Amino acid sequence: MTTKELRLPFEMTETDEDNVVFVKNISRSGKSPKQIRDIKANLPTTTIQYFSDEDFERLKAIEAKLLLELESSNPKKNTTFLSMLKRFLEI
Amino acid sequence: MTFNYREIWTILAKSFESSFKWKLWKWLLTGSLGTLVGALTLGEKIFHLDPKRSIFFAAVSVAALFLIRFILIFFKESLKYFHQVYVNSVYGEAIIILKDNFASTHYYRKSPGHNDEEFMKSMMLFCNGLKDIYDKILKSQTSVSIKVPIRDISVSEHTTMMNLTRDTKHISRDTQQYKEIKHTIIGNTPFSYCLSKVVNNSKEKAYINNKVNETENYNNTSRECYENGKLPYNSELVFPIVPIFNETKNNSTCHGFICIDSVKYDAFKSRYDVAILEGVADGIYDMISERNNSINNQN
Repeated sequence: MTTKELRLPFEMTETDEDNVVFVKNISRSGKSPKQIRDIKANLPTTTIQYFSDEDFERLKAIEAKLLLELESSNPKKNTTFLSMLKRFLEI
Repeated sequence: MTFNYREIWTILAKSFESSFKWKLWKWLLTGSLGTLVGALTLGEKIFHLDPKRSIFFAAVSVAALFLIRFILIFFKESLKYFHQVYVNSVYGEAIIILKDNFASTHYYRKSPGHNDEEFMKSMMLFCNGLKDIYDKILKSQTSVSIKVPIRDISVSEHTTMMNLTRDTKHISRDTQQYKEIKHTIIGNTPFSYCLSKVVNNSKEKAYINNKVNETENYNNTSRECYENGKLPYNSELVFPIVPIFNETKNNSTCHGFICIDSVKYDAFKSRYDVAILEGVADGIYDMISERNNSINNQN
């Protein structure tokens, strides 16, 4: 199943290795490139800071380790008849 | 939960008192003598009863009216009280969970340098804490995830979002197929909606959809992972990881999104649902910023 990509109300204005900066999409009709540049220069921007692939992979490895620790430290659930009945009845 | 007898007694007394505050009593008891005599002899005039029986039935009717009114008021006041107790316990519980989560955030911020293990612990704590909170508030199973932008070959609006972490009960959603899909901002309505709100400096930044599977023009790249493209949830609340107060009005930074979904329809209706998430997003924003600064200082 494919999803449609929509025209967004914002566009990329600059990018480098660590960030991408977005600015509001403005109507270009009847405006010269200079006018568009001037308008955009005064608009508020939003920066998205990337996680690098290596950094992300490292964090995911830490997550996996923490999950294992969590699993082993969790006490096993009480399985007596009374506790099961209580869980079933949710009382 | 302990039974608060004192509170029940207060409700009883309040209901008893309120039962008298009725225009009918004023009309019957403190009105003219003619009204009272007319009411007492109603049975005599309509049902041809003798005067004594008429007065007796009139008194019984008045007592019955009082009793019905008393019971109804008591019922209403009790419902109000128990609802209040319930609301307090749910949101009180939320405060306690968030206190623990934020303690971990503050600890991370106060520690010099950056410790990735502490960072991930805090992120996981937030996801699990939020899940506990929203499970209780919505009385349904919820799933919480933190999505962050990953540098991709093709940057721009096609920026890819990946799961930094999820609540531990829904880790199984991160299948190999899910990981291989490019979850772009443009390909996901909630992300593009939230980001456009951030870019436009809007006050309301949350994306709420209480019928995701029935919404037209709703894009979600995760659909591919599920049979017939039907998502395993019906309601969704997404909030950008941005600060509540932005120092610079002209440039804001977004570190990703917090996503909460619920199997329930029309789940996210309370204004508290967004407020809780907004506060948590602010905390997570601080942690990611702190980590980024620390990494930049090291380099």
